[in-house]
Amino acid sequence: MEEGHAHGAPEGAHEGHHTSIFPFIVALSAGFGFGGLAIHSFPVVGVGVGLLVVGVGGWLWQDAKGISFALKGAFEDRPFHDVSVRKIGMWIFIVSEIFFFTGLIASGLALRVRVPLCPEIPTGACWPSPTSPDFPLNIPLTAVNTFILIVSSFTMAESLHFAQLGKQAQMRAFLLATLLLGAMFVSIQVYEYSKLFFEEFLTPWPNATKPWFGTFGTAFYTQTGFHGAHVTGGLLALAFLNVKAWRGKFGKGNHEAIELVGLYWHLVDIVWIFLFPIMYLIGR
Amino acid sequence: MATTTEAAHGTHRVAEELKRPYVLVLVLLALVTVAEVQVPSLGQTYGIPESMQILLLMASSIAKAALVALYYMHLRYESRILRLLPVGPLAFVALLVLAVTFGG
Repeated sequence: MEEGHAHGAPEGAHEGHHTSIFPFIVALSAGFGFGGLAIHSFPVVGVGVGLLVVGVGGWLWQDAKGISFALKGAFEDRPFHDVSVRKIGMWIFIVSEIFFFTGLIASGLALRVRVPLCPEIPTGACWPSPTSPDFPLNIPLTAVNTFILIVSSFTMAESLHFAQLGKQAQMRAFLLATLLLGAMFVSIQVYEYSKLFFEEFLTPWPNATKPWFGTFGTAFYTQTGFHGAHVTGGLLALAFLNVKAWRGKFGKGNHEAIELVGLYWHLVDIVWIFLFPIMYLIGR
Repeated sequence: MATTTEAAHGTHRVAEELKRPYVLVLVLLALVTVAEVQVPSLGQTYGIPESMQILLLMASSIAKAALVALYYMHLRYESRILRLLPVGPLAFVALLVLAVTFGG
């Protein structure tokens, strides 16, 4: 398939292969981090966070130093022949993320279907309707934020396109725009969180002022919080890409990193495409 | 030399083809998002049942996600096996969502 070559050309396939311990450390950090959360042990979570910093930092350091990783090149056998190994790896990671967010959203739905819609004067746990005057979430602001994330997906796709064409200036401009739009999305989300937490009394637990929003708050902060953490992770990757782009490390035959980070970025866009109506627009 | 030029021209052409719908997709995504935001208030004004509103919002979300996956993630231009890779978990998605929504 001809099109596949345009954006799937593996970079540095001729270089010597070196194994890297850092992806394994990142995976280990997830095990410690989530295991610590499961057993309510903050020291274990701390070990996980520490390992994450070491793993990601070491990985980026290796990449910045130009040390190539293992498993470069393309699959040669069916069914993935001619597809870059790293692209397959990214798609498998994306599949795992689909599983993760499905579980997360499904847990929110499980809470939602077991709680009634809020009456005019709530007495127990209930779910607010978006048409109710007491609805705590800011729909217009988040609609704008949704648009910002959608535009960032567009600029990400454009940056890859210009990298494929070897047009450095446009590639850098669109990469920078993606980073700024992503930062704007997270900033607006942080602003919204602070307003909700301190002014609307929407907390992830039942509080004394509005105890009936405890269930809704748990679902809201868990789902949007994990999404926000994913966007923040994407911003770190985008910042790294921007630095590399400004140093002239990407070009016509060397743009796979932009494509792979782009795939991740579009995934967080897709997750938000579902989260926005589920949390903000559907009453029940 | 001629081969190099042809290859460069080919890459350029393919990159142009991939790019073609980017702006159109952006416009569609924006329009559908604007329509989505109107659904709750329109539903209240015209008495549209909540189940119908949910159906509309989920259908529009699926359409938007498909646009992003097909054009921005280039799945439309990938090999069949790569296109099938992310489709597999969707069966799990449907199963889990149905189970928690209608399960006991």
